[in-house]
Formats: sequence, C-alpha cells, structure tokens
Amino acid sequence: MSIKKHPILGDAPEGQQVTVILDGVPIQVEKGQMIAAALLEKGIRVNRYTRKNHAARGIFCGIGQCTDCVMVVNGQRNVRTCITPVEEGMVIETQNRREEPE
Amino acid sequence: MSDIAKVGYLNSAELKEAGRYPSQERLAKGPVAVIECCQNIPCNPCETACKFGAITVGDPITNLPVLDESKCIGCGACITKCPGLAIFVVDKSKEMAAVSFPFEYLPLPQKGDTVKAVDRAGQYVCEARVLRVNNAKANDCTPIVTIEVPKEFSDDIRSIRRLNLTEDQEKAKLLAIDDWKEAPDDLIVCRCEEVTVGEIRRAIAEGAVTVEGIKKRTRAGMGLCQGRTCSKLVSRILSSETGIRPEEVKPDTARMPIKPVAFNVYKE
Repeated sequence: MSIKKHPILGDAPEGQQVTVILDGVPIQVEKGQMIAAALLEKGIRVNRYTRKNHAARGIFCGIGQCTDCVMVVNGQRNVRTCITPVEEGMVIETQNRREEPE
Repeated sequence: MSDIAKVGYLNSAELKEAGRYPSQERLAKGPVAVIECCQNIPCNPCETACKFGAITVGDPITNLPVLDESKCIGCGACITKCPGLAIFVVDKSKEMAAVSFPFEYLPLPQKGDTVKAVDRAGQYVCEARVLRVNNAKANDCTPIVTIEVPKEFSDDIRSIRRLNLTEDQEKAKLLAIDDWKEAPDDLIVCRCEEVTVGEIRRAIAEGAVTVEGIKKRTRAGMGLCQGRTCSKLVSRILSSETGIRPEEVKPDTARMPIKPVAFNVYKE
C-alpha cells in the first residue's frame, strides 16, 4: 500500500519496525507512519463504528480534519489516528466496537 | 485565457488566438517548443534552460515566456525545467506528428508500446506509438515521453493515460459540486452525526433557512469535527433547495476550541 518506488524520490529506504497492540493483537508496523496509514497498509480499513447506526468508518480526509478515523489510543478516546504517529507498545482499539460499552 | 479559469485546462484555439502557439509553418519544418504557460507568476527557469536564447521572460519576471520560433531547435531542454510541466515539443514535419511531453508517473512506457493518448482535459483521443522515453540524468527525474500521433490531433494531445489505471478508475467521475438536486436521500452529509441529505431536506421543509437552523434540527455539524466537513455541504444544499444565493447563506456559529480536546484537560 505505501509507495516503495516514487518517480521523483526514487526507492523508499528500509523502515524500522515497531510493535503496536491492536484490539489485543500485537502487530508489526513501520516506524514513522501515522496509525491510520500503518493499519491501512495491513489491510485494516475500519477505525471506528458510529454511535447511531453502528456503521464502519475509516480514513476519510487523512489530514486531521474530519475525525472519521478516531480510535482509542492508550486508553484515550477520540484520537485522530491519521495525524498520530505509531509508537512502540502503543495500545490501539477500534472505537465503539460492539463489546465496548458506550 | 478564459477557458482555464472555467474548466481548469487550456484549449489550443485560445492559445493560437492569443498568438502564444508556434505557427503551422514552423511546426511543419520540424520540432518546436510549445509553451503553454498562462500564469503570470515569478518564474523563469525556461529562459535560462534554453541555450539558444529562444525563450524570453525578461523584466518583470512575472511576464509570460515568449518563444522566438526561428531560434528554437526543438531540443526539449526546457520541458523538464518548467516547474509547471507546461512545455511540450511538437513536430509536424513528417507524415505522422510527434508530441513530446513530461511524464512523472510510474510505470514508464517503453519505446514501441501502444498507449492511449489524451488531451489537456485527460480525455482519451486515440492510440499512439511511443517513439522515445528520455529519462537521462540531466532530466532530474522528469522523463520525457515522445509519441507518434496523427497530425490533426497533435495540437491537442498532451499526455498519455497512466499505465497502472484499472478500467474502473478510468471511468471514475466526480459528482458535480452543485448537483445537489440529484443527490440521493440516503447520501451522508455530516459524517460525525450521520445526517443524510434526506434529513437536511426535511429540515428545510420544516422551515430551516440557515446552516444554524439545520444544525439545531438535525445535529449536522455538532459531532466530533464540529462541522469542518459538512457545513460547506449543508450550505450548498440549502442554496440549491431554497434558491438562496450561496454567498447569502448564513454560516453556523464557529467557537473555540478549533481541535477536539478532552474535557479533563480543562479540569487539570
């Protein structure tokens, strides 16, 4: 998903890996990426569910404006994941999953 | 240049009328640069790129470049130096015309490939054969692709369709911005509070005439993003449904904070 070869910038350098815990499952992601981008690369497109219709939401604007990609990060709700970089050991949860009491 | 302001791309008839297109006699003699620069911005790399002194920007630096077509040999050195990728080389001296253009997309075509030539609007014109792909070091990562096209299209063909587009992507079309009458009732406008076009139409039917009025009836704009995404859309729907002029639609009330902040930040 991420651009490994760019017409102007050339080949991407090999990235360092960090481990984050997504809904209790540890996954390896590339350091320096934003949470939403790192998850998208792993094929995870749902970051939260809406409160009214419990509809899936993911990246929409990607620049921290629309708050569609918010997740629970280290216990803090409503963190805009498209502008928050991944960190080693970060605990990330899909917001408003069915199990989660609202 | 009226067309570019309306639709976002030039048309060759306007360029020719403005005297900014090489003459057909010159084009028939051999390759020549076509400078499709229409913005008076302070920029002159094309002037310094030409070793033959064929391009003049002069003083002030915001002038549009002027080509001396008798001095231009059609080498294409200026193509890669134009930051706006607005320079092309056209050659109508042979039976088929050759068009050279900058192409900063991967994958690059190969010499001999058959590709889809497109006009300035990106619309498909015809099939074309790739004559050359020049990605020399001096180009500084801006490859120049030269394709062979019928002469009658050579004033309009300015690029090729990207090679990694799927058929769906080729056909993809955006909903026109002011096409709100056509928008289906179940289309979501406010993504945070899940408010649809239908709910906004109902609020307007109930008497809402301002963005604030719609906000109070439907909660559109009261979610996490505080109307950053939807308030412009709501005002366009209001304008198209009620006939209020877009500039006269009253906006909602914007208040601090400008980004989401947890309540316990205030507590501390």
